[in-house]
Amino acid sequence: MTIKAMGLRVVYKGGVVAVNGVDIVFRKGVVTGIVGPNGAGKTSLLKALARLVPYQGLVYIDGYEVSRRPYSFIARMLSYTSDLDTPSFLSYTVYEALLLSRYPVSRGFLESRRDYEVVDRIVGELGLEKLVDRRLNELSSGELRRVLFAMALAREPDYLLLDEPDSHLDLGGKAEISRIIRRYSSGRTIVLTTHDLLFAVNTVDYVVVMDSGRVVLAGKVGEAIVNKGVLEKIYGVKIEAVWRNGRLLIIPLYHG
Amino acid sequence: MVSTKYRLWVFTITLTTLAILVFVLGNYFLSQGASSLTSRVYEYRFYRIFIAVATGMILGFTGSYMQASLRNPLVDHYILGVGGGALFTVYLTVMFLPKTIPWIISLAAIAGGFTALFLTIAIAESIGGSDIAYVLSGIGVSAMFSGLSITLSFIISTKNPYAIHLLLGSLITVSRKWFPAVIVLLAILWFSYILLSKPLNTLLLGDLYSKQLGFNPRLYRFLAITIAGASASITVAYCGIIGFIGLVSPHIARLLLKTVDNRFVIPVAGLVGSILLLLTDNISRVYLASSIGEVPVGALTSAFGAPFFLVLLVRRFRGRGL
Repeated sequence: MTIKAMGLRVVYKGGVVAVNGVDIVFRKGVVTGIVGPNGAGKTSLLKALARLVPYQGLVYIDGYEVSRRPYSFIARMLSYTSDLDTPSFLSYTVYEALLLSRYPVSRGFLESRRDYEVVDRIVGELGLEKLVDRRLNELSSGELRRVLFAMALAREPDYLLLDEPDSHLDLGGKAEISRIIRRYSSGRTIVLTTHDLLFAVNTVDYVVVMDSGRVVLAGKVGEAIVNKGVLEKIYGVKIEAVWRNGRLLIIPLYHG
Repeated sequence: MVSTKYRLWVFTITLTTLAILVFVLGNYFLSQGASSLTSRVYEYRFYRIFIAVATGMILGFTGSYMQASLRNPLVDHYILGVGGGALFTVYLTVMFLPKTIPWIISLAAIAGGFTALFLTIAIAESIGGSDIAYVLSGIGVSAMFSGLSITLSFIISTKNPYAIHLLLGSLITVSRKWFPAVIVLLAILWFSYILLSKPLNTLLLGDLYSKQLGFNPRLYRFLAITIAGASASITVAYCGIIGFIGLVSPHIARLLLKTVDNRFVIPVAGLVGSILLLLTDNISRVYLASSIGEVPVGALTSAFGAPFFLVLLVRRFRGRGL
């Protein structure tokens, strides 16, 4: 259960090169975080892995080359979540959105008993009982992040690609989503992007640092982040990396 | 939590209401003045009831398709200018065709409807593609084609006095000639509903989510818009522009069902459309006919439907859901 990208390039209309020749492998049971400044190509890389944007090069999921497969094939194995742009008029309730997230694996026209069982289990595991009847457009950022994660889990995928799962969250919200991601990491391949290095070091096993569409640094989180010279260079900010009680802490020094 | 069972109940109750209405109204009107009726009058009344029910259903379906695929609760074939475009080409065809040939007129209607639809979409997308952009662009396109249609209607009225009824939308000109077309349309819509309702559900979450839930958003949006545009255009060919039924029916369905799930909304919107058109047509030809004359049903649906549209518009701007 791996995702493998070879010579991956994403070029948008107008010739903007978002991802410029990335070779990378994401393995089972490992949480990988992609970090880097705005415009580094993190989201484009994630979208290409999920076949959501056209790309050049090769992406293999479970040995299948993604671009030759229909969306439905990929959807059965892989979930991608990003910010949800839900219209206020035509909005689902949380429970409906969770059932809808099972479409790729649910065959019939209406939901089966198994669909309800899985959704109920995930609602219980993530403590969403109070939210199930709320509409998606009425949720707070923190609630929406938990619901999006639950939607990604609903079809029980082997691969989870999470685009900025910690965006718009306060400290408590980040800690909670970090714990949830860790809880579901065993047996799955999880790749996430984030702007928050502290969130990354607390959540991921491996870190990939991108800049200008290329991977500039990759490795186990402690080893890679300690190589702070690269981070300081691409972000243009001094960084203090300290170990406390066996955990790495990242402190940006905005004023040098 | 609203269960599937509740939604199936709503469907059953709506269906029963329609069946009772058809039975009561059909029984009443088919037998009214029975002693002096010829079989042609019977036949006319039968077709009129059938066409009202079928057209209402078609408009309910097409309104739901358009609203779901464009993620826009403010549109139907009338607002998007499809009606105006279709009517213009229908009039052009009537001008040059010696007699009414349904399939030729239908094709002409589809050509006009699509021209207007794609014009509306292109203009709306060029100004940001918001739901309001679609309404404004549709009003412009609609006004242009309506102006042309009104002009043509003056020329046609000498040749075909009934053609004027299409301008406001009326079932007065129904005939059995259109029976096969309507049956085919209903069959296509029910069949496509089974294929399209789940992809349309994912489209409500946006293109990215639709793709990653396994559907090609462009393909399904294209299919839904094409089927809805063509079906609505054909209704214009035989009964003119009946506005707002397609707009209002999906909203009533969503309110009754308490969901935006198209698997339930689309068929219930179809049934609600049937009920609304059957009722308004009966008000027009029975109650108003005896006092002020038979008012085109399109005028009544606009009179009842437009305030509903305005309420939607106000709620949209105040940022409230439905």
